[in-house]
Amino acid sequence: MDFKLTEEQQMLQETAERLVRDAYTFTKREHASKSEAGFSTEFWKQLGELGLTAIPFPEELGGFGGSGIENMLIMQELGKGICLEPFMESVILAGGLITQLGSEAQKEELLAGIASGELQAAVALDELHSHYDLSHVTTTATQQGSDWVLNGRKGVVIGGHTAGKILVSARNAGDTCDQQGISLFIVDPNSAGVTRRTYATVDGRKGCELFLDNAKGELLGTAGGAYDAISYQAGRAIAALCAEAVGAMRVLCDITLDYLKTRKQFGVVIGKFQVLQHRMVDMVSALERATSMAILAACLADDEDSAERSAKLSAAKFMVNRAARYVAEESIQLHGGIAMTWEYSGAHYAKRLVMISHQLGDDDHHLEAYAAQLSA
Amino acid sequence: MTILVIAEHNNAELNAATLNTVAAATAIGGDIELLVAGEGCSAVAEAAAKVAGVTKVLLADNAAYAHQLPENISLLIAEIGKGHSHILASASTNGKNYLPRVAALLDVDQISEIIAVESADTFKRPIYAGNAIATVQSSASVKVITVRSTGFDAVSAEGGSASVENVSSAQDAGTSSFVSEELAKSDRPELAGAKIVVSGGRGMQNGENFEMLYKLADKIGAAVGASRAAVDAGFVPNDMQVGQTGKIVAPNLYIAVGISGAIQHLAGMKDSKVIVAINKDEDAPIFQVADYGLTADLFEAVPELESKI
Amino acid sequence: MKILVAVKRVVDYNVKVRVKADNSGVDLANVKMSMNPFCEIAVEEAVRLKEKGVATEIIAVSVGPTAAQEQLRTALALGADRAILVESTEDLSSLSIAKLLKAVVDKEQPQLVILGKQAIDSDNNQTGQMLAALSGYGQGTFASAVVVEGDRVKVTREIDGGAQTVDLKLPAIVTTDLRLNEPRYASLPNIMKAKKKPMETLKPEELGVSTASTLKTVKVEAPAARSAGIMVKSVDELVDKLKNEAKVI
Repeated sequence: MDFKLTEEQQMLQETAERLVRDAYTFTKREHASKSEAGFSTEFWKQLGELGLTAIPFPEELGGFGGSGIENMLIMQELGKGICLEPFMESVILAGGLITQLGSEAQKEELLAGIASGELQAAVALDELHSHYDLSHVTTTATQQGSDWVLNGRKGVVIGGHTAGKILVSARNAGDTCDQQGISLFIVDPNSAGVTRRTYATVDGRKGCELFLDNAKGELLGTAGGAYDAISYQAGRAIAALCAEAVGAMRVLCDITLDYLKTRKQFGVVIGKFQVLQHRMVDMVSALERATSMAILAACLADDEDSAERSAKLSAAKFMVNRAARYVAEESIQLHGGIAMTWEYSGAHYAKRLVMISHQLGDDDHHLEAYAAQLSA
Repeated sequence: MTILVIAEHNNAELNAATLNTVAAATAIGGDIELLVAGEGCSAVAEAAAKVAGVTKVLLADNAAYAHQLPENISLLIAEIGKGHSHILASASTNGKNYLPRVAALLDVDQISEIIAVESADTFKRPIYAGNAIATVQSSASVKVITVRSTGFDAVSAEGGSASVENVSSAQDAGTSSFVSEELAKSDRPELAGAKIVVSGGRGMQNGENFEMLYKLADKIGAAVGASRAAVDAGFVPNDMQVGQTGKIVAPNLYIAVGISGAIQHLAGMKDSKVIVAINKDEDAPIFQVADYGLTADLFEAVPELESKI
Repeated sequence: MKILVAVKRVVDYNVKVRVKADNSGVDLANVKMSMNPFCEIAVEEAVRLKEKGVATEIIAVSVGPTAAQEQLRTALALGADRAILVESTEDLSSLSIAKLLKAVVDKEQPQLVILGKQAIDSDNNQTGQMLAALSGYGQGTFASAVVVEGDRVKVTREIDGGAQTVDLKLPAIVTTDLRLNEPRYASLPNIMKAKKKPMETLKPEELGVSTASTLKTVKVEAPAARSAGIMVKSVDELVDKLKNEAKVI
């Protein structure tokens, strides 16, 4: 297989790499995390100006027709800087859903904004007891005349607190876990009946709980038929998270190796101890396995929907989840106490990695999904 | 073998870096001629004649050389230097400016910023920002070399009694002219050439606390620098940054205060003769390069040091 | 006005280089390569001059292996109009590179040539000055400001202890220092456009330049490590050591 990037892909990666390196120093990240938005609005603007937020969209919609590989390159770099911006949520997930389901008018209205970064969108799919099951939807949608009215509560909407638009899954027919009867709505978070409770997540980001009390929503796609698109786009988002995790793991492995070569105990650098060398090697081999799976995920993220695609994406997320937590935990162990301190960047990488291992499905969820595909 | 050394000066005084360059010439071995090119610079020539080891001083006193414009001075050096075995200049911003021109005019390669002389044709020089040291050998008829001052101990400014010979050549290429010059005015010595440097890092906590370092620096005649972390945090301006991307210093004494010792910073100061590190964190990597380490709260240690030093 | 910008492919400045065990050089296998940071500043300055309407065309030129096309493509994505690669796999000296650039200058007749002040691999700081000498042009090295006025250019230079401004007759050579500007990032639209910009490849022989060198690298070593120091217990002990043992105060 040829893993060589094209010249354009290489330049794209370099742009992202340099941007993150310059804009995401430890102190700048800390500052951004503590700001009201919880991320750097300036950096977000730069992503837009450089066209990075336009990557996955078709050229006729102001994008660059990028594939999973381009998304992977950007996400890896964002992972290296543990960037706080809701790039995956807005560009890949919300952008993907609108591209797939939206009417021409909706695409025109929203995608140009998402592609330029002027519109930051969020996606509300999770609910209190949904436990990664995207078909578990209790929020209701009822038609009143030409309007749709939404009622219910959505959880952990990352970037929802600052979003200009939120895409909400709600049920207009069927039982709680039916795939049929789920619709997707565009909600203006500032409209009547919408309340947000903002909080910080463990990885230094911000998200919100979304309360819908007779809130108005604009239907995206056909009523009751959104599940397949949600599941497909969640697959693209999983591939993006895998790439982000690989970027973050790579940096954390580097930081840890550096520490082993610097820190002295009993008069020698601790990296001289064979047992620590072995643990470091295990970390890096976990990273390499995860990297392979992330590349696989990126290659098929934009393929047509199929059972095989879903199974492989589940396999990738499972492997990456395990590696992410392994690298995070081992890194803390090899560092000792310092890795737990707020002032040490390694701690923040570890927290983000643990968070990723729960976003859009943990190990058990994806292992079950993979097994189900095998026996099907 | 006759070596031509180009004197570094400001038309009034001989710059001390010249003494290090002469030291490199002495290490090569042979007669040493010192070229003083400038305008109204006879005082410099007199000082040059006293430098230990110099056999002859060549004085080119002409308006064309007043500001060391490389277009003019390189023609002069190439003309005089042709018959010499070596042409040496300090790796100052002047030497770096005109000497490659001289090399090109003589159609020979230049050897930049040597830090050691192995033999008359073999030299050591740092590459990759000092992360590697190359030994290079030259077969050029004239070896054109810039010399990093910190690599050679200065020869004595006194003790020589060279003759001064006037050079009448006036080379004016007519392609450039001097407009103005602005030299930073500070009572403290310049960071790059200071004998003692006191540097502060992120541990200083804010810009006001640097006052403590200025006080200490003024007492011992030191320049004040900073780590990139301190510059990035906005404590001090970026021209104070010591490190790979900032200034590279090699003073006799370097005092690192509240600096953890990132590789980037170490690259800028690890050639200092004596390094002192004061840091609260006993595991800070700076202690691995320090000759004297003190684990202490800098806010107590620095004022105490200032009062006792 | 035509501007020629020289760019060099070097090891990325974030890479920690390691000396090879046989002391024949540094290990560059599988190491990330990038455009020399000072060259990026040179490209940026040229692009700014074009944006100001001073320059009409920017030609990026590199001397190096086939892979240096990547760095030229980056220069095109940053705003250069076309590119020339003088292809050579040899480890060329600054003088040879200056001679090759001189041949390109003769061919293209630019009014201004902008180069980085030095490459971060060889740290020579020679090529711009040598090119200026070979062409008989004036030079503004270590530039922190470049102002073109008619057929002259004013260059403010970073010198030891301050700044100096010189006035040069065009055509002239400028080499860039760190503070001249902050290079932009290649934006996605410009990366796409760069694909369509022309790139020409030349061989040193075609330019009639001999690249023989008088320099030979005998060996490359890691710098000597500092010997371990000692920890002192108090400020008094430190002052005593500095005065009586190290004798630096």
